[in-house]
Amino acid sequence: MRKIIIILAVLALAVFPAFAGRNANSLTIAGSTTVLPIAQSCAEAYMNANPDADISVRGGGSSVGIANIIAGTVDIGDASRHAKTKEIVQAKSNGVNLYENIVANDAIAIIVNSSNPVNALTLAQITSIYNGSITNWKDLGGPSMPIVVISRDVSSGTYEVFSTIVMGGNASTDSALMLASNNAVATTVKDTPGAIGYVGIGYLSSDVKGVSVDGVTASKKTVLNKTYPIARTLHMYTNGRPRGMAKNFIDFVLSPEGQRLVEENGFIGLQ
Amino acid sequence: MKKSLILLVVFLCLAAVASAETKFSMELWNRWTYHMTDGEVDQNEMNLSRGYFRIEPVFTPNIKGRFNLDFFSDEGMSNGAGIKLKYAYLDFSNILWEDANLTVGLMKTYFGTIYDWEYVTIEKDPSDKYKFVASTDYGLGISGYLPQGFGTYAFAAYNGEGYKKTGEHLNTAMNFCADVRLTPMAGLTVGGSYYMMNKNNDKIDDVDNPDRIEYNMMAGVARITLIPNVDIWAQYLTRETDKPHMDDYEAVTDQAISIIPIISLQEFTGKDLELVFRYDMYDNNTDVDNDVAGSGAYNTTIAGVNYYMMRDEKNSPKLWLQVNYSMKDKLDEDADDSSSIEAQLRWKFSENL
Repeated sequence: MRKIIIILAVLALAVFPAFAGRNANSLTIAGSTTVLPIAQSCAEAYMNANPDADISVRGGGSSVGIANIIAGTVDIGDASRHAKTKEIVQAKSNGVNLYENIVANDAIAIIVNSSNPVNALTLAQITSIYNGSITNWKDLGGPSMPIVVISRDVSSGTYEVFSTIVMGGNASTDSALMLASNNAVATTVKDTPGAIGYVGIGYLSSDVKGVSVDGVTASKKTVLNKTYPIARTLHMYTNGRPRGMAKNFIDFVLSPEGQRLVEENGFIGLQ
Repeated sequence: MKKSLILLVVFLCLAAVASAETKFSMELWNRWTYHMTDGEVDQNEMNLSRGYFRIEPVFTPNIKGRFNLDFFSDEGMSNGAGIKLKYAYLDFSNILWEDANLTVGLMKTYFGTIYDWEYVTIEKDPSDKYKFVASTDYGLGISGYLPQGFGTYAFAAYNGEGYKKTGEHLNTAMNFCADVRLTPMAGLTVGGSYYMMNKNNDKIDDVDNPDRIEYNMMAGVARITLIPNVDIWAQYLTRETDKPHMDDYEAVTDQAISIIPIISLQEFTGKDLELVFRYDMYDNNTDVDNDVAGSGAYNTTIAGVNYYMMRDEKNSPKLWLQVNYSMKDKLDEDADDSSSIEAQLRWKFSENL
């Protein structure tokens, strides 16, 4: 009898939670620091147009965005890379269907200090800089000045994409400074004459200088015609096809107004 | 102890210098146990059940390591604390083929749910509790993910005698394990493991020698997360032990069944709370009736609460309290039943260098 009561109590508790639901007017977003400015500006515009809406946006990195979608703690997980097989398996096991919503295009721009006369590098030269084979700007047509290599931390999506396309999956030189955000990379390159770094194209500014790669400058045209070699898509992951307010928000990001905000932040729209 | 500390410092320095990024973390389990047998209190104790110190260097995106020391209260040691090596392995990913890991060293055992076990109850994973396998062992394994997130696979060769034995305490036979999990749809995972363990069989030709022992172990695992906020784990374990010196029969089979529903209450209470239930049935010999005198069969019922006070940015718990009430019901009616209340505060912190 005691066992039956225990089993019934467990079943009752198991069914009860199924009727719970989130606040229909609130949305939580977390993840990639690259996608962060898009999410922030779109959230502001969306909330201006829908005063009842309450959207909270935070960064953390692509791994954090996807981990939080798997854990069910956010409605949208931003990522500047595709979900890994490991994450897809974890998600399915947790009852979560990772659904990838592509919201923008991006190029990873190679940046140097504004005072550096070097304007162009080849992909092979960038690989050699980041694996430590080339350590002085004079070997690249610049002044005799040690190269200060700036990289992103290994958990960032930008690092993953850069590592795959430029480094062939190999590690950066041990002397590379690993920084936690696009902003930190841009600021360090701005303040360090011999520095080289990489950031999402949205973080290019007059404070730093973007260099061409294999003779191609990162731009909307070169990303859309696929001639710029270090390009990627940006994503907002949801649990299954977006529904409710998550759908409304992603529809807004994909709308002409949302895509205008994507480009206003320096990224490249889908069209 | 001094030598261990020196080795630890050297390892720390080497790992920090050689890797692109190294994560240092510490996790501590402070536990209170109140245990009664047949109504008499026989344990009322507070201790440090675990004190994990972990170093996880990332050498390249495809080469990662893990080194884990376990500190714990131990009255047998002169200073009241013990230390043991729990993990020391390197993972080489995408080297053999896409999404595959080659793991070398003191690593987790790919058997049943022991690889997944996050101690949702204070009690150990069933295959650890019923001593089917050790949670970690020295070995070499290949694991990976099936395409499109369809599941996972793992194959490994181990010493077979866990992390506590090395050198002359080991037999010479290697042991083998295979595990497959399939996730055909989101919310449903099923799978199984097979572990072939033998002791000395390779060097003793005489099949009647009592030092020859062979174990064949299997695990069937299911996880269901189809109902929102509810996570159900179920496991069936069976082990056939073949000892030539046994008089009445050649083999003994023991088995265990475990069901663990976990219910998140966060959406209703606003607090990061979980209710956990666990029901284990262990039968030490399937050829003998469970209710006879001397039977070692017993059932364990556990009800508990997990309160997660802090989580990190990836939602992993950083500070949480577990309270469990458990009843051990021995099926031999002459044997004493027991029960216990345990409370455990777990906390961890980490830093990336």
